[in-house]
Amino acid sequence: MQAKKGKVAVRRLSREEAMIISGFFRGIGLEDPYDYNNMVVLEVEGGGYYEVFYIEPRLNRLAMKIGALYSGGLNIGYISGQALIPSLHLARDLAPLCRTGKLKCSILTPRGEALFLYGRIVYEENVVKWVEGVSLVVGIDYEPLGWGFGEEAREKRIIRPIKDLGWYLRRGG
Amino acid sequence: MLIDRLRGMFKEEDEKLFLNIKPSELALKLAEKYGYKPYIVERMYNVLGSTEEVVDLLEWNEVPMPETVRCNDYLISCARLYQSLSQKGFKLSIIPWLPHGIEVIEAPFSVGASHEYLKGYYYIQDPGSMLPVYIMEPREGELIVDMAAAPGGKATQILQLTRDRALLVASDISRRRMKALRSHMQRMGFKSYIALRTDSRKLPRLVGTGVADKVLLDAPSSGEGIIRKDPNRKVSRDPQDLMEVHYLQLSLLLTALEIASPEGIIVYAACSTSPEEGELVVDRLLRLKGDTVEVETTFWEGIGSKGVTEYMGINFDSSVSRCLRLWPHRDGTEGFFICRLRKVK
Repeated sequence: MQAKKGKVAVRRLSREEAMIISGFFRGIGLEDPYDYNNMVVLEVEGGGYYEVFYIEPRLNRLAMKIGALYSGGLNIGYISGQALIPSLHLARDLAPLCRTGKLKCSILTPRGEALFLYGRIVYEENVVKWVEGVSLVVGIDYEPLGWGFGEEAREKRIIRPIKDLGWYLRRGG
Repeated sequence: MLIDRLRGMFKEEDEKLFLNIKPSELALKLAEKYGYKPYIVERMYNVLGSTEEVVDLLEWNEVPMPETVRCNDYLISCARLYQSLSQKGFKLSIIPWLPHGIEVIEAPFSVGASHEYLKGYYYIQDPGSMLPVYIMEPREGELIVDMAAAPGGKATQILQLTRDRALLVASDISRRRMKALRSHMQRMGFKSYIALRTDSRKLPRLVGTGVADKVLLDAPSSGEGIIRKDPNRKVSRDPQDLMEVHYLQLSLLLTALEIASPEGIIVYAACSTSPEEGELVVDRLLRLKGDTVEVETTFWEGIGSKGVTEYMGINFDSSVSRCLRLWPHRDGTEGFFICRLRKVK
């Protein structure tokens, strides 16, 4: 997202936005892993969404002083309506937690990984560990592949991609 | 505007030496044979001195650049990446003089389409282009400004070498290239940065003066160093265009000096073999700000030549010989100029 034409304003996270993000983290089994005071929002004029970044304090202060930002720090994702759409960057950052069992993670076979990275639905025969609802999707080596949604369809458990790493390629770099 | 003032200051010298280049008979012949604008070949003569070496360079510029990648050892060891790509049918070779450089000799599919690429395990980057950041020696905790940062090759390399613990301000004016920078940062797992889309000459107002421990300026260039990748560069620029690029580079370098802290390091680089974009930029910086900046020895084991000190009848400050040049025919790379400078006051 972002990088559209139109004026971009940078500002601190509002309480309502913090609650939306907190709700997303609780949904995947985490209790506020990042300090909301270090999050900023990029608001794109006419874009209809708000992109959220977690930026370490010194760079955060600099960004707020400058009052402009293209991107920076950890891209948490974007808020559309009342939902956070998590970023691939966030998947990369949280993936080590999949090994600890604290985070909702689905694990795919190598074949499942290939399908997922092509943006295809992955059926249960290519899923090592299936989780219902939104989860971070990793390969058998616990390397992040993106975000998926686990559901049952025609009595089969599937993982439907929300955002997969293949997006970098399909989007054109 | 700063550029207009600079142009005015050096107008006579430019007109006498750099804007009215008369090619020799031999330069005209070689230019015709290899498809160059004659003034480019004449300048090669002036720098290299011998017909054999000029022909050698012209021949090398006909050889396409091999594809090379920089492994991201922040996420994966280079040995594991090498093994993983080899298993998929890539034929690879380690570049001996680069810590993270791998040459792709044969690829079963596009090197930018592998799962390893999508997972952020490498960045597609020419070998010479990897050198400036090694030469800069970024350290954890330093505030580093990358002034022409997009699409992000060197910016991601700075964070790779500092294990994502430098504080990086990456700036560039191009919306399209900034989109790529952002994407590479995220793909490769780096967080310790902010990216600003702006004319980098505005940076002193935005980030402050005398603040950066290190500044990297890989300046926009004529691209004379990447003829192997883009043969159109043989004919796409006139001497006037070249001097326009020179003044942009000089004005950006003066900005870099403003941003750097006392004792701060500035690395100036340009992917060009043209002295107008290398030694002349540094020489003029020294003429303008010689009391506040000095040239450090820019050296990398096993590669490169010294900066030239004589060109078109002009003698540059002798310290520009401490800068580093990469030549396609001597080093097998793209043409590059790199100079490490220190702000002394």
